[in-house]
Amino acid sequence: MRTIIAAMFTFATSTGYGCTVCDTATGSAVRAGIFNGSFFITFIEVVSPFPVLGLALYLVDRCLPD
Amino acid sequence: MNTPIVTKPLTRAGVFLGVGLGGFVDGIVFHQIFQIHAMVSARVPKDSIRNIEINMFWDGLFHTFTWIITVVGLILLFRAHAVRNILWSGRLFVGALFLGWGLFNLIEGVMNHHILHLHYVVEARGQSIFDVLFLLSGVVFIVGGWMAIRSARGSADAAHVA
Repeated sequence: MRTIIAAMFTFATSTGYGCTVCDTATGSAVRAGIFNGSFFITFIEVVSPFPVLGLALYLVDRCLPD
Repeated sequence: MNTPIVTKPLTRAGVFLGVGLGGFVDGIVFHQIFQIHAMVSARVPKDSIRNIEINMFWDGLFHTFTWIITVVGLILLFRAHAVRNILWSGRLFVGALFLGWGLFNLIEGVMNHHILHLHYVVEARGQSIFDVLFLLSGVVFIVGGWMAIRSARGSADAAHVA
């Protein structure tokens, strides 16, 4: 667990330093454009094809010859 | 006594890999190289650094899921290797890849382009003939892939009986 937390902290810190726009006005505008009131709706919409694909994969799998 | 030939584990792995790699083709070719659309570009047009970065975030989420499906396909392929009497057929595997790719194009196209209107194939033209062609490519890939799978299986059964 400690290793995972250390790895996540290192990753987050390094990407934070590496991001060229995160600490600018543009970065703030980007975050405001993503993490706003419609975040969860957009999230559901973006990932929604994947459950349908999962169902399609299940149905195709049932039809495949052994 | 002849043990029956098995094709399902390889086909299953191929279909998963086809879905995942089909998603990567969409993301790499359309989103990144040609940049004719992005994940939510019909709602957040790519006309500023801010909007490009917002689209890039949702592109990343989309690629995360295609990556997961690809990894599942790799695991299934690895497990298929351990199955006895499996038919290692290139035609079967490529057919399965195309079947998966077609499923991706059809389902992603219907949902994102025609129901949710998150983006269109050529964003500058809005919903256009290219969105229909995208769906059509999905149908062609599914039918072609399915025929290749059946053909490979039929040839193997005939050889097995002989």
